[in-house]
Amino acid sequence: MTQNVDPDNGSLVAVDSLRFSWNADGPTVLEIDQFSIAVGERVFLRGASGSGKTTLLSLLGGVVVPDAGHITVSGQSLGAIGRGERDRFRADNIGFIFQMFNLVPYLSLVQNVALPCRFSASRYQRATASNSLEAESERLLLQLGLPQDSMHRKASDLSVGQQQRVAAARALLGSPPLIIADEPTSALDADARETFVSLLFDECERAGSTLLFVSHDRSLATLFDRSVDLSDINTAGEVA
Amino acid sequence: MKILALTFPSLWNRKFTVLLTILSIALSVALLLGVEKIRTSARASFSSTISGTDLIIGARTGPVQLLLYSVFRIGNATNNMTWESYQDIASHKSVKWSVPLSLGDSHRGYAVLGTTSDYFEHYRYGRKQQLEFASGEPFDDLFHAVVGSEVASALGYQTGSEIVVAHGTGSVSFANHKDKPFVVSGVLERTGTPVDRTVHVSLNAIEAIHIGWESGAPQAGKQVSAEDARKMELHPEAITAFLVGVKNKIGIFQLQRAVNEYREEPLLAVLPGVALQELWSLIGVAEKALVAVSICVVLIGLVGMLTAILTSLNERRREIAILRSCGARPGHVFTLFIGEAVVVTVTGIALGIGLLYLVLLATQPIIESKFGLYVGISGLTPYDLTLLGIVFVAGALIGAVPAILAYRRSLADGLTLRI
Ligand SMILES: Nc1ncnc2c1ncn2[C@@H]1O[C@H](COP(=O)(O)OP(=O)(O)OP(=O)(O)O)[C@@H](O)[C@H]1O
Ligand SMILES: [Mg+2]
Repeated sequence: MTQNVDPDNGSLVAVDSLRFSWNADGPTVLEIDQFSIAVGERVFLRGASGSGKTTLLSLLGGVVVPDAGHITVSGQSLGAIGRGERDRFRADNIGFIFQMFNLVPYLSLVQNVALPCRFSASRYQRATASNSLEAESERLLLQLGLPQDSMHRKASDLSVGQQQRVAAARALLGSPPLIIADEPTSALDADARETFVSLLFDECERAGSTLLFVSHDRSLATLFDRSVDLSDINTAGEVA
Repeated sequence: MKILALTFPSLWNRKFTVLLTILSIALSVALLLGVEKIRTSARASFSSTISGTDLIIGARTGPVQLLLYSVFRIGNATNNMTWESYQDIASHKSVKWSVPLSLGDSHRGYAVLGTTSDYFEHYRYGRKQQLEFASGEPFDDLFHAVVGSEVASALGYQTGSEIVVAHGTGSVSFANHKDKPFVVSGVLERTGTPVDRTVHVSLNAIEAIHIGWESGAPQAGKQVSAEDARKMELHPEAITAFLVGVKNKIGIFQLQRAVNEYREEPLLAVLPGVALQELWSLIGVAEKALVAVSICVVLIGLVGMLTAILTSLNERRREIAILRSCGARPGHVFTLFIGEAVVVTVTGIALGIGLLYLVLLATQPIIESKFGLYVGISGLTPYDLTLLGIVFVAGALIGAVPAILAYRRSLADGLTLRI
């Protein structure tokens, strides 16, 4: 699969002179001069609670727009396109995993995994290149260690650890160029955490996806290609 | 859109609230349609009470009063008109037929009408339908009576039954004309008009039962037995009103003017259609109130739906954030919510229609026998469909409120999964 790479520096994600606050008169949450992630890189992002990690992910996903600066993901400048197009871009290019409550409770595992394909034609095409959508969803679920007989069960019947794996399968379906995981392991015990991360690595590799992984659990940092502390790149709130 | 495929599982997930919402909409829709059905049935049965009669003539009073007592047997005539005036006008050149009516007596709560056997030939109701005999025949004896279908079924009368006619119109009368027993000579078919609730006797019979009662109470020494009455030469002295059919429709207004300007005594001639309309416009206020109440009930049903959806909005915030992270655009979220409101409203409407017909089927005979109102089980009228259309649009519009809220929130929340 070919990926659109930022022609300037060969990175999948590039942040330049970014500034963001949630409210016009509120405090500046993020002020990042330069930040980039290379294609295929696995980046660990840590930071104190409330430091703006999730906010940064929202910005990268184009859910909110910066007050100043540029964000480029997979060769697309997010500031250059409208909200509708950003929504579409996100659906096509980014798979998300959250801390908890990742799943729509009334849908089955397979339906939950297939969800992004409802909204993105290109992910649907990639997911069904060699398999039916359902078969591909099941394949990912099995790969992530979910039992065969649970495929059509309601998502609400699962343990938290299992739910996180389903969320990972969903993020990976259709091989989006970027996987963003926002503290996906904080509800898991230590063993489950490591297993989850290594499964996620395997699948990212298989899909050729770049991974941005947020956590405040430093013990996981060593598993990644690179570890970034948000306070190192974020100058918001610092005395000038 | 593919997002709509989520509507049913999402609704199913909240099935109890959704079911209650659907039920409340169904009940309110059934009530709305039911009120509408009863209203139109009442109106139809009302306006078809009398037809084929060109003029109703009686002593001068208001047109509505004349109609009320001569056709609906409601209230009393304040004045009678003389038999001479009747004969005078009945022989007018444009009169084709005339039927005298004499009211004022009752039989166990039912009105007693003194008339001639022409009544059974000329009185028409609905689409100019004639009165039919379920059994027996018109009266041809002084003490014969023809009873309406409701009188017969309520009091258990058949041809040959003996009945007693009371003086006055109360259902309990202390001054029963016990000395003049009548025999039922015929029972009429059901008409859905006040005829069903009437006992018909000859004009002379009315005279006969009043012999010896001239002062309003039995007079000692003046009692006359039925046999004696039969031998007396009776002729009516006064009637309450009479029905007229004209030879030529152009003659109606001519005759009406002649009656209204009649010199011998003050009389009034009204066109039944005009008087019916005037009467209905009086009743129309109650009718409108009924419709207003049922519209309010529908509104309450829809507001219930709004409450149910709004209450679920908070618990569904997470669900929306998940969908958004999977690529659902605000438009999808909007569609999902509108879709749910539409599904709930449409299901409610469909269930309401089903409920209406079920209730109609079950209660039609009861309504008919208890209230004398025949509610036809017919399809939905264009007006009904318009009402349902309005309910549907209102439901979808109401669904837009949570949809807009969900849409706005999904923008403001970003990807933060709020609990
Ligand atoms: N949707 C929002 N609207 C307004 N303010 C917000 C919103 N989301 C986050 N914030 C604010 O932005 C700041 C950064 O929040 P953010 O969620 O990015 O922190 P975080 O680093 O992800 O924290 P945690 O580790 O607890 O998840 C906080 O002060 C928070 O109150
Ligand atoms: Mg966070």
